[in-house]
Amino acid sequence: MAKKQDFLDFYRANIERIYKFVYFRVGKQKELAEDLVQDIFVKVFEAFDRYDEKKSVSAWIFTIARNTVINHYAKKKADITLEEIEAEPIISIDARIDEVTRDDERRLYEALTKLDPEEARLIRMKHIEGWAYEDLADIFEKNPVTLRVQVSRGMKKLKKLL
Amino acid sequence: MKFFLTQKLKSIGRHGKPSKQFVLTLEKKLIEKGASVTAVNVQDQSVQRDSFFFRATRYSAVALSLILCLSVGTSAYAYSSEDVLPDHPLYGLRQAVEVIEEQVAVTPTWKERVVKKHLERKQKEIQRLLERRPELKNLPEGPGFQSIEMILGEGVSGQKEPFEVRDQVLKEVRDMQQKDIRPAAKRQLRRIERRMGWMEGLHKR
Repeated sequence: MAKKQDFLDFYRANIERIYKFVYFRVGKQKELAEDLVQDIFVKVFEAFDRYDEKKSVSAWIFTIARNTVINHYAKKKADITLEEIEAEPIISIDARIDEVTRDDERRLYEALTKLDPEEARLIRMKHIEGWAYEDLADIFEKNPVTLRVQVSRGMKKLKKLL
Repeated sequence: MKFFLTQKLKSIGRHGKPSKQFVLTLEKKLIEKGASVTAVNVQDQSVQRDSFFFRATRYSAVALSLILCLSVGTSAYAYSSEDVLPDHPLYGLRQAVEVIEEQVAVTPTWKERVVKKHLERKQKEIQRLLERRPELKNLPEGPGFQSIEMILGEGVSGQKEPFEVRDQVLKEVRDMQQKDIRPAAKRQLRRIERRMGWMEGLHKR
């Protein structure tokens, strides 16, 4: 797989979830998300030959995406973590987008921030960004069944909060 | 509720999809950097299968919507057009809509109003039928379709109860069929009997 020829297949299979991952962590700023996603895929492209096939593709690209987002925020505030970024409500910084963010959507975001950070992150990644349980299992190095239970528990809590 | 919550989250996710233009532009940039297209891998095949499924679903939905629009349009035409008479191919559809209308009427007053409306329609239908085919006016034995039209008129003007009028028309139709009349007239009478008898049965139920 570690051949540049396979790269476009890899790109097409991952672009959407990586874009969503970035988009919802940069306050729905489309242009910023596009810049960061471009950086991520350029980095992935350059490192594609060095990719270790024994490692999971999802975990690999997730690490690159996460580090890119952290580096972007680190320019403003040093030592920031992904947890801190995710603790911020996913309400758009762009006032125009914020205006059209409907009330129920806003309540959902606020309820997500009240959940346990790991559960909230799993719900976001599973239901908003569309990662499969198998991918999440590779990323968090956990059993898919455990993750399924965690997501289900989180959803119950979220339902109570709404 | 959990289902709706999941759908809500998914719908938020859909808002965060990259634009096609961005995906293609970035792909182009990456191709310029040296990546090239090869055989589709397993992961990509699943993406293709999904897109085929969604395409097929979308086309089916469009086709079904068209069929539905066409059916609703035809039924509306059959029900409202004055040209749909017992000898029209859409007359059966008109009858079916009328039966549904009568079934939907739950209260006795409502049902009576609907039946009266239908009698009015039948009277108009017979008038138009007689305009088109004057030979049906006077049958060899007896007054012919005009007598039915007269009975219907009594129902429409309120002189008689709608259900009573229906019974009388049915009796008249059955009597007329016993007489020696032309096959075309007999066919029309059979159609009316079928129609009225059907409605009569429904009312009794």
